[in-house]
Amino acid sequence: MNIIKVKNISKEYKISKHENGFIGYIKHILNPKTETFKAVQNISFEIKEGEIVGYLGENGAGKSTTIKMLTGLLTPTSGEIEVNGIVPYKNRIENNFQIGAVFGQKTQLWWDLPVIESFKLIGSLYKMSKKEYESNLNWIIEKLELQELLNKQVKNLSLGQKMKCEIAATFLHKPKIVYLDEPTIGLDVLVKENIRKFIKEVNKEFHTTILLTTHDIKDVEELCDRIILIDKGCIIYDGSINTFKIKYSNNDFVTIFKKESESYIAKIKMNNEMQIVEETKNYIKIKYNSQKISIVEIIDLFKKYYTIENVETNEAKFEEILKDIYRGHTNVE
Amino acid sequence: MLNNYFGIIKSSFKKGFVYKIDNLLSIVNRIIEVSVLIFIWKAIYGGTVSINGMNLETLIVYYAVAYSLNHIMTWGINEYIASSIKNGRINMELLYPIDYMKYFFCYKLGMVLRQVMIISMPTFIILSVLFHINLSFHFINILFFVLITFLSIIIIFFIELIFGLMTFYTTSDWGLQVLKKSLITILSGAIAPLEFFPTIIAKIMNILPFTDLIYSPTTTLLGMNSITGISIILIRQFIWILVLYSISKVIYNTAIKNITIYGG
Ligand SMILES: Nc1ncnc2c1ncn2[C@@H]1O[C@H](COP(=O)(O)OP(=O)(O)OP(=O)(O)O)[C@@H](O)[C@H]1O
Ligand SMILES: [Mg+2]
Repeated sequence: MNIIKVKNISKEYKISKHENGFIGYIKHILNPKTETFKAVQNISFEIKEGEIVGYLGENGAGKSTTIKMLTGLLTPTSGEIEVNGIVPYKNRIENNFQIGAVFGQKTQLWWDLPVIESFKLIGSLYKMSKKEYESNLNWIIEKLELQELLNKQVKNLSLGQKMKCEIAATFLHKPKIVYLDEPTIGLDVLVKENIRKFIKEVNKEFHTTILLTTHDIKDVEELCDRIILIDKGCIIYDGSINTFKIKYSNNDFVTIFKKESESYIAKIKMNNEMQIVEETKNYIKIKYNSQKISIVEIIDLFKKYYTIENVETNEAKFEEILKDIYRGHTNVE
Repeated sequence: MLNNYFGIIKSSFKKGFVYKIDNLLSIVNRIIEVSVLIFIWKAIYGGTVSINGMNLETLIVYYAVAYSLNHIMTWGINEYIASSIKNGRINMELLYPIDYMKYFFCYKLGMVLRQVMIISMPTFIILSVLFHINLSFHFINILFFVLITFLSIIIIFFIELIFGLMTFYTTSDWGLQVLKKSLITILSGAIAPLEFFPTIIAKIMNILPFTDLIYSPTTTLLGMNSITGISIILIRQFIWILVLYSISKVIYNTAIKNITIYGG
């Protein structure tokens, strides 16, 4: 069942243009000039219940804008959204009951009160029964190891401790859908690990649907079954990580181990699709575009001059592929 | 589990207790202010029995009550809303499953309860002892005092909401806050009862909502208002509540649309 349905949504921001200074300001009031900026352009996707989807893209690609529309904080300029049967920007409050959200560095915890007080407040805001609240609370305290933090004031917590509490506050009412906008920003490896593990477990146990934006590729590789890649407001890829790697990795590496120690490289007819990265007595490392040339072809070329003892391939890292796309080195249809 | 409204009231109530020194200083501050005013008026009265129809004793009680209320009316939620807008916390608050206006009204109520308990009450008790105030208020007057004060809290809530949301349209949130404080301190009758202002100004003040924040409840408690006078106050309060509610609704709806697009 598709729990999130996004159909042809666009979001335009109005940017008011006025000249500097007081005169410019007056001019602007008398004759306001606005430009529109398309942050999200005609995107569509559907997410199944229980999926963890990575929503990726460069800074400024339109990720947060999309999430704000999904949570009902923003109304799309055009298009339709339905989250579990509710249109979020029309019935925001009703929608709020079924979702949870983490926005990077913003907090929903009460700064000057002990952490537990914020949890209590959330318990009553979401109208939980005493029993439900207590069982949810105990469950989350155990999972995120919060026992020692409960009675500390939020302002005294470290960044990582705060994020753990933030995540706890978000999941406390066991939402059906959770939006995580950069939940691991600025955290150390251990806390990241802890949070990832938690997200995975919640997803497994309660079938929680999760949409995650992050700039940490490990988050994606460990959590997501599927990624949606957005660039300048348009979706450029939607599918599994593996398919993505196969489709867009144009920088795979192959290392050929050879018997001969002398070099015959000069004799080999090289083409644009491959390039020697490193050559030693024992091996030659080649970078090649797997979309244009296959390993078999490469080996065929080298076979003529070398006795090949072994071949080792290293597929490109997910991160490298993304970088190439961001830099514009890889064309995505 | 508590009802969602009570949950907010309770959290907001607890929040201020953290700032023990601030609360203590507030009390000290109020007492010094009132003492200075009273000493000045003592000098002005000299041997005179009554000025503008008020004798010194009544004036002292007036100040004690007015300044106990003053803290509630001048320290509100506009600062909180302003900071919420500035640092983007408002986006998180809008994700709570409760109407934003109701959320902040409960927040304000919790705050008022706390202010009454740990600032207004102690201030009033200390002042009563210091200035030998006779506490024999009429029961009916106490009832009307509570009712009028409650309505004035609704009025001040909307004023604070409007001033808080206005921060979005100006860079000078500090200026807005000072403006709000001065408007209230001067026009509410905290500085002096309405009788001491020139007639024209008193007349204007009488139309505005500010006098009902401090002057009206205080004079009612002191038994200075007839039943007709009290009725007029209540009607005026209801009208202002409607007017301010409408204004803040409009400002809220336009502001929120613009606020949520920032940050992220
Ligand atoms: N209020 C606004 N007015 C005008 N333009 C805006 C506004 N908010 C965002 N934008 C623009 O819209 C685009 C998308 O912004 P968005 O915050 O969605 O990016 P993002 O993908 O979340 O980026 P990041 O990874 O940096 O968080 C950016 O180019 C940004 O400058
Ligand atoms: Mg973002």
